[in-house]
Amino acid sequence: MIDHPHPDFQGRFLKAVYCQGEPDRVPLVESGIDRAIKSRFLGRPVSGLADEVDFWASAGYDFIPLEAGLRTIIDAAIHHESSGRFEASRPDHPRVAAAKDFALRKLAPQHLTTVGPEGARRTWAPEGRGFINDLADLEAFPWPDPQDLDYTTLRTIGKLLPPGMGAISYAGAVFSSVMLMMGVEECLIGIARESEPFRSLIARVAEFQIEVVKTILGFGTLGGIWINDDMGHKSGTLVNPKLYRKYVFPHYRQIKRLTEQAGVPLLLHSDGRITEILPDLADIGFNAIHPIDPNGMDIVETRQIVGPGVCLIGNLSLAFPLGTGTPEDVGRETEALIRMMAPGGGYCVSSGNSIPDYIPYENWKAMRDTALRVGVYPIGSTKT
Amino acid sequence: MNSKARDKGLEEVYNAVLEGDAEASHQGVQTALAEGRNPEDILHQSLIPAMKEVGERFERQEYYVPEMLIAARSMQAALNLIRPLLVVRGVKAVGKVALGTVQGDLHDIGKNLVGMMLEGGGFEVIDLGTDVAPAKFVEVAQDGVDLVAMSALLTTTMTKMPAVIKALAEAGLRDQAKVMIGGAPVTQEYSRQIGADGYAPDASQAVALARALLNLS
Repeated sequence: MIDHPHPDFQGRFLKAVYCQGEPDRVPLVESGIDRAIKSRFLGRPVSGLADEVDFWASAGYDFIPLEAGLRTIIDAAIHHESSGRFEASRPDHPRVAAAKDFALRKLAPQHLTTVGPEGARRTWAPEGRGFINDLADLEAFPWPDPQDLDYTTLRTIGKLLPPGMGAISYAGAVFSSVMLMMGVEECLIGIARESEPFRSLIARVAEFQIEVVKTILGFGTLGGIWINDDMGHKSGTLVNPKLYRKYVFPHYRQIKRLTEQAGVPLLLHSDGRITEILPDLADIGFNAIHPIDPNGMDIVETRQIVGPGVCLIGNLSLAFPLGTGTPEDVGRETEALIRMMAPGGGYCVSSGNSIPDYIPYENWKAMRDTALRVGVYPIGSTKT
Repeated sequence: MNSKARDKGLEEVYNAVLEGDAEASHQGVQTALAEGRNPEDILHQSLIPAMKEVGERFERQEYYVPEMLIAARSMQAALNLIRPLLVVRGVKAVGKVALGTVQGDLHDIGKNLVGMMLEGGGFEVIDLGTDVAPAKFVEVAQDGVDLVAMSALLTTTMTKMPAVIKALAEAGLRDQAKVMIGGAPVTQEYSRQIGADGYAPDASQAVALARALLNLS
């Protein structure tokens, strides 16, 4: 195993993401890892950006995931906690604060939070009605300007990164932002009925999010854009793919053009079974698709559909082995995935979503250690 | 029942539910009742077949989640009119289900869809909501449910399901009530491991499973 892995964003991660053959080892990727796990690995509390960079670099990852855009407002309002991808460096701009306040007043946060037996708080996305329920709400919502957001981290991250380390930002989430603003049920009905509130909101959201992408690419510090839009459930896409083609994919194509101009890859995160829209995603030009949710996605089938030119990231199930298995189970399943998908390149090891607080530390560590031990190229398809 | 056997009024209700037109389904039921049709006929010849077709279209990927939601809401608009009449006439549901998302879990869209599809399948559904403790499932089951249906979104909340099964057993209700489970992290294997009676991957298949567990044709 590699005891002291060093990051290599350009030579390792980009080679995998652009499907340019086999790098030195299979890259490790996660969109987020619970803070307690990160702290335990580092042996000290992760309490700021410097600690975050330290964790991601020393744990074997090639980039730190960051976040920008509407989700930093929406998630803060709904979740009252940070994913770790975004930390404010200064007080909210008054318009950003007003937007969060609007959301909180419209939602019922007390119904969106549970407290576990050990006191762990979990917050939930609004599944019924959200905080933009009609055109009146849309007009009343105090839209901030994209330039009102706090970009301090994204603008300055380059100075904090050790040699070889990169940074990729979650940004450009169009559909998921609308889902959270309208509530999942009302958004799905709105898109199916092509209602005026839905059409108006998604247009407004897309305009905002694309402006954010332009802004953050302009800093020259980012190595990629990662769109976080959940479009599937366990057995298929949430809505008829023709509606994604009409209301969502044109915005993705615009973001793809921006990333191409900036010379950086475009990644997609979507939960659920998105098999039906894989040809669309490949045609749009996504360089990588994550997390190949084991709740619905067959990674071998996915590879057959998208072909060799799209990097696949993930597929290690949070249920089993990560959540309920032993470290040995995790090691075995991770190794099997690597041997099946990594030969030839174009694959990165990742969980089937992210690493939340209910994943035992030992299991995350087993995945990470196995990737570093088994994922050194050349990789045989079977154990030797 | 095919459309030839369904008269014009019941066909209109059937189509209104299938197409998700709540106003038309409500109006259609009012008209049908005014014209003297039995509420049982409306239920068995229009509402239940319409929701069955909705489920089949979902499985064929002709309908997606919104179409199912909209159709289910239309069905509920119709059912709300005839439910009190069915009670007065002593018409019993094909089965009684206690439905809920387990303790610590606030996910409800999947559970709601299952509930609506089960209602559309002729079941009486007692929706316990979300974050439901095992004791609550037991309390409701003691009123004579045939099925306990549980949902969980997360791996961590899925692990609350065995506690419900254990609580039902300890209350002497395990022979009375079958247990079915579902949710994103849930699998057939997990269902087998924890001693549940069945697992359904989506709302449409939940109805078929419920019918199978109760030996309904």
